Amino acid sequence: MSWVVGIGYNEGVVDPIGSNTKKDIEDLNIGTVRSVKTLQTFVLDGDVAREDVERMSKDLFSDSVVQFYNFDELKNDGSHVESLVKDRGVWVVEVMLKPGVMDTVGLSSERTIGVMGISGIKSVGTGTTFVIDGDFSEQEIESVCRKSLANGLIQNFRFRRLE
Amino acid sequence: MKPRIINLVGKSDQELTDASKKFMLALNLEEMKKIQNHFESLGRNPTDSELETIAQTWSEHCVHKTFSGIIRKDGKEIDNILKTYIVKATNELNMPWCKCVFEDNAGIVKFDDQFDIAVKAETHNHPTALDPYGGAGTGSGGVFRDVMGVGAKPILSMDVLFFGPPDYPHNKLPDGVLHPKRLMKGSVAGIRDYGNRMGIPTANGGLGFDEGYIGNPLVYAGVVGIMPSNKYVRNPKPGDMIILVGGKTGRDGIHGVTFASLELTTDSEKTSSGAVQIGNAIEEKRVLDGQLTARDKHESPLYSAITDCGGGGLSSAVGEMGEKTGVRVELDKVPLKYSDLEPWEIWISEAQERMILSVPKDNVEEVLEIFRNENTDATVIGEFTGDKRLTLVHEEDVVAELDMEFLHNGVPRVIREAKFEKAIETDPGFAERNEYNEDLKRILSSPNVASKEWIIRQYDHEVQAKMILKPVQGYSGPGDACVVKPRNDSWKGIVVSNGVNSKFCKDPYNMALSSIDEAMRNNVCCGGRRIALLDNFSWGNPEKPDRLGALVESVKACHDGSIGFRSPFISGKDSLYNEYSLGGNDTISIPYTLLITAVGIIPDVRKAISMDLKKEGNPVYMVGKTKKELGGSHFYMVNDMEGGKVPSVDLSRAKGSMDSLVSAMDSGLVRSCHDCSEGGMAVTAAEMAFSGKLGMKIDLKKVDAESDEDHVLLFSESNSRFLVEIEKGKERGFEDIMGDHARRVGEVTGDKKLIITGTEGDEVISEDIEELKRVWKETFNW
Amino acid sequence: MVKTIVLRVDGTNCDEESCQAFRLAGSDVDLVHINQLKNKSLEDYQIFMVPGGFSYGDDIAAGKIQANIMKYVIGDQLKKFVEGGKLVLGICNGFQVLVKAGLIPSIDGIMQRQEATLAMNDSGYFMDKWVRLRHVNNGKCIFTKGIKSELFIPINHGEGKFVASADVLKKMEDNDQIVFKYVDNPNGSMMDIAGVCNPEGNVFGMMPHPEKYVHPYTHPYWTRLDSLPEEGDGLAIFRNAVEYAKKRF
Repeated sequence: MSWVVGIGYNEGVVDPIGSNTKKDIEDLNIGTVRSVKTLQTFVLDGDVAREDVERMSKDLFSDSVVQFYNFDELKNDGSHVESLVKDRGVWVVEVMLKPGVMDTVGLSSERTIGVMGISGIKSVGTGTTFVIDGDFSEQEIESVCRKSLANGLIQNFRFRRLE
Repeated sequence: MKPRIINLVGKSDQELTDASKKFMLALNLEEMKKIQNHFESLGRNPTDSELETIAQTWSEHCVHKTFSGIIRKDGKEIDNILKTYIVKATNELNMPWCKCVFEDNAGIVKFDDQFDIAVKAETHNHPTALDPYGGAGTGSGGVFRDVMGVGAKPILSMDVLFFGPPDYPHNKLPDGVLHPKRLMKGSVAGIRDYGNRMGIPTANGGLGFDEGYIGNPLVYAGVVGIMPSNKYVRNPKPGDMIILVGGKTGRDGIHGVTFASLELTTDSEKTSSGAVQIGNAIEEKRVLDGQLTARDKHESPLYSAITDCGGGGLSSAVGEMGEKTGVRVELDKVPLKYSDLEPWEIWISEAQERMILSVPKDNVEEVLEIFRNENTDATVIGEFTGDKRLTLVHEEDVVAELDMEFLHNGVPRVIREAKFEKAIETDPGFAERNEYNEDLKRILSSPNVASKEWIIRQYDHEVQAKMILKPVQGYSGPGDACVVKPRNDSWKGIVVSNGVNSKFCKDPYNMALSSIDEAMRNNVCCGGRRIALLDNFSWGNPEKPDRLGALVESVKACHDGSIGFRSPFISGKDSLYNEYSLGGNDTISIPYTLLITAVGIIPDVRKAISMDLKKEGNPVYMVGKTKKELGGSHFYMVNDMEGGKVPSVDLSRAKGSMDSLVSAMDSGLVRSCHDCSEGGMAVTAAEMAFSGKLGMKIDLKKVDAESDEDHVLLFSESNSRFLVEIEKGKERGFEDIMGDHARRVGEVTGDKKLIITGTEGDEVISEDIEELKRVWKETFNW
Repeated sequence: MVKTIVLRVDGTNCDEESCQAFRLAGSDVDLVHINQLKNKSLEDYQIFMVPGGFSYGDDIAAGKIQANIMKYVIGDQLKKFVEGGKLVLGICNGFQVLVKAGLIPSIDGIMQRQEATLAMNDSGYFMDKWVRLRHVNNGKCIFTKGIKSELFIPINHGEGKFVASADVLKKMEDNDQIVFKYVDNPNGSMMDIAGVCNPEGNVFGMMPHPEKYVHPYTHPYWTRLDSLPEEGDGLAIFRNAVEYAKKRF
C-alpha cells in the first residue's frame, strides 16, 4: 500500500516557488494564470500504519510553524488529490520523478525515517503538486506541463480539474 | 551472467554499419572493420561488454579523433593539430612552473613552494540541451571530480553559458528544442545548486546569446583546485586493489559519451533518455571529504593513484588507470541502484559522484573505513594485474577480455579534409552622427553586455572565505576577474578570468587570438601575471571541411597567442558535432565558440585592483591602440550592419603593455582598471563610472588611434586596450613605466555624468550614469 | 585553553572558516563528524558550534534532517550542555538546525518544540550579498556583548526568512532575545530578524556569516574604502564566546 503526503504553506504565508512558477507560465503566453500554489509531495511505499504516516508528516515532512499537511492512500486514478488539495475551481498537476531516476530527497528521507525508529517503509518518492487557478483548456494545461512544469525525460506528470 | 555475443566476423560492410547504429556505438565503418579483423584473428566474436568498452575508449570524447588525427588542408597534411600547435607552444615555452600538462585529469601549475593549483574546464552541452538542470549541474559535478582526480580540493567554480536569445518567440522554436529562457534558468539553477552544496564558490563566468545556439546551448563548467605539491601520486602497481567510492551505479548516462558524438535530432528526447545524468552534490561532497582524509591522514596518501569516473564510466576510468599494467574487474561487486543491470551497463554507466582509487593491499581496510565514516560507499571491485589485459568478470563468467594495447592504441586515425575561406571584411557605409547616446544605451542593454547580477547573486561567493575580489565590484559593477586567497597564512593569490567572443567567428584565427587577449587582459585588470591558459572548443561537425578549416585556423592562433603572450596552455577540451538536424540535409551549426580560461598569480592580494572608479579628480589613461575593427562588434549588431574587420592582436605590443601595466599596479600607481571589449571603450567608461558612482570625461582627440571617426573610437572592439584610473599626482611615474603604451585621455569627475567629446569637439556621449546603469540592469531584471 | 567542538555532517561546508575564526579568537578547535560523536563527550568542550552549509542537501527543508538526527543521537548531552550554561552557536544552516531542533528561541524549554522557523526567502532564490545588521540586544546575548551597533556581514542562503507566531515574537522581545535585525530586509524575515538567542543568552543563532569576515580583505569593496579596519566585523562574535568561556569554565 502506498500513501501520498502533501505539504503546503499556510494561508497568508508567501509561496515563493508558486509565485516564480506563475511568472514562468505567464512567459509562455498560454491561457491566463491568476495564481499558483505548490505542495511538496511525498509518496511512501511499504507496510506502514496510518499513525506512522501522521507522525512522519508532522515531525519530518512539514514545518509546524508555516506549513500544513494532508495525506491519503495513493489511488491509481489520482483521486487522492481531492484529499490533498482543498481548493476547488482549480487545475491540479502532479509531477513526480520517473521510476529509476535517482531521488536524492527520497533517499535522505528513507535514511532519516530509519533513525526515527519507524519501520516498514520500502521507499520514499518525491515530487511537486501545482495548484493552478487560471483559465486553460485541457490542451493548454498539457502544453504548460510540457513546456514549463515537467521535464518529460525524467518526470511523469498528471493533471485534473477540481470543480 | 553469461555475456551476449555480437556477431561481427564475416559480416558485410552494411551489416557492420547497421550494428554500430543499433547499439549506439558511434563507430564508423573503418573502426568497425578494425574490430572485426582483430576478433577474426582471435578466432571469435566480441561480447557486448567488449564492444561497448571499445566504443567508449574509441569515442570522440575520449580519443579526440579530430584533434589527434590527420588533417589535409591547403595541399598539406597536419599530423595531430593538438601536438603540432598547442602542445608545441607549451613545450617551447617550457615554463618551470608547469608541473603536469595535457596528461592527467587536470592541468597542474605551481602556486608556491608548498602548494600546486589544478585547473580544468570542459563542456556538457548535449545533456544540458535535454535536461538543463541535471545536465548543467552534473557538468559542474563532473569537472569538480577532474581536479579531485589529481588529488586536489576544489576552491573555485566557473561557468560560461551560451543560449539562444531569451525573448525568442515560442512559435519559432524547432520541435523538440527547449526555450532559451527555460534552458538558462535551468542551467543556472543546476550549476548553483551543485556548487553551493559542495561548498565551492562560483565566482567567474559569463553568458552569451545568439540565435545560432537555439538548438545547441553551450555549458562550460570549470574549476580551480589546490593541493600540497608533495601529495600528487599516480603509480598503480600490479597487486594494488581497485576501489570504487561514491554513488551507486545505475543506467545514468548510458551512451552519454558516444551520444556526445552524434548530432541531436527531434527524436533525441526519446532515444537519449538514458543519456541524461542526475546529480547528487552531497554524495560528491562526502567523497571529497573522504578522499582528502585518505590523502592527508598520513605523510603520503593512502592511495597510489586516483581518478574520477566521468565520461565512459568505469570503462574509461579503470581502463585508463590500468593501461600500463592490466586490470581484472568483478562487475558483480559494484553497488547498484537496481538489480537488473547487465554487465556491460554496469561497466559503461556514467552514474555520477564516483571515484576510482588504486590502493596497495595493506591500506585497503583503512581506506574503506575512511569513506564509510563519511556515509558513502567504498567497495573493492578488482585489482591491477601485470598481464596488460582488461578482464571483466561477472559472477563466475568472463564477459570481456581485451588486450590493453589494442584497446588504447588500436583506434584507426582519422584523416579529414579541411578548407577555409576568409570572409569579406569591407565596412558598410556609415554616416557619422552628432551623438551616440542611444547606441551606447542599446549596447549596454543587449543581453551579452547587460548586468547579470540576478544570476551572479544566486551563487555563493563567500563559502570557504577566500574570495578577495568578487564577480560584483563596487556598486554592482562587472568584475573582470576574481581573486582568490587560498591559504590562511599567506597573502599570495590566484586570479581567474576568461575570454570568448563567438561574434568574431567569421575570422576564426583572429577570433581565437582575441579570446586569448581578452582572457589575458581581464586577468591583468586585477593584477594577475604568470598566466596559464586553457582552451575549450565548441564547434560544429568536423567532418564538414569548412568547419574543420575554421578549427585549424583557431588552433594555429592558439599557438601564436601562447608564444606571443608567453602563457602556456596547460589543458584543453573540445566538444564537436554541435549541430542540430531537422531531418534531411538541413543542419544548424553553432557559431564557433572558443573559450579561453586564464589562471594567473598575484603575489599580494592586498594590491589587487578593482574596476570601479575611486576618486574625483584622478586622471584617466587609455592603454593600447584603437583601430577600425568593427567586424562582429556590438555596434554593428545593434545597427543591423554587416562586414568589417574582426580585431587582430599585435602580440609584442600587447605583451609589453600588459607587463608594464602590472608593474604600475605593483608600484601603487593604479586606482582602477577595466578592459575594453564588447561595445568598445564607451562601454568600458560607462561601467567604470556607474560602478564607482562617479562621472568621467574623455576626449576622443587624445586617443591613440588609426582612425578619426567618432563611432570607431567609441565602439571599435580592438584588442589589448584598457582604461586606467591613476592616483592624482602619480602621472609622471605612470607615464615613465608605460612609455608609448598609454595616453592620458580624460579624468574622473564628481558630477555623475559620462561626457565624451568627439574629434570635432562636440559631446558625442553625454549621459547620466544612473540612466546608463538603469538600462544596463533592466534586461535581466528577473 | 578553551575547547570548541565544531560539528560536521554530510553536506556541511563552512567548517574550515568556522574553525579558523575560533582559532583566531584563541580557542582550541576539534572538527568532528557526527559519526565520530560516539567517541567524544560534549563535556570536554565549552563551546559547541553548528556551522553553515547544506546539511543533507537541505533535503525536505534546510536543517530539518540534521535537527532530527542530532536530537536522536546527542539530544540528552546537548540538553545538559545548555543547562550547564555552556555556549552553543549556529550560523546559517546551523541556525536553521538549532531552530528546528527547538534550541532557539526555546521559550517553553530546551528542545520542547519548534517555536519558529527559517522559511524560503520571499524571492524563492538563493541570495549572496552583504548586508548591514543592527545590533539590537541589550546585553542578554553573551556572543554580542559590547560589539558595534552596526555590522556589515555577508548572507548566503535560500531559506533565511525568520517566521514565528505573534505570541512567540512578543515573548522574544520581552526577554531581550532578539539580537540582530537587517537594515534592509533581504528575505522577508518577520521584524527584520537576523539573529536570535535563547532566554539565557548562551545559545545564539544568526543567518549571516560572521566567520567569512574576520580579516578586512573579504569586504566586498575594500578597494574603495579610505581606510581599512584592523579586523573584519565578524571576529568579535567568536572572541566574545571564547573570552566568556575562559572566565566562566
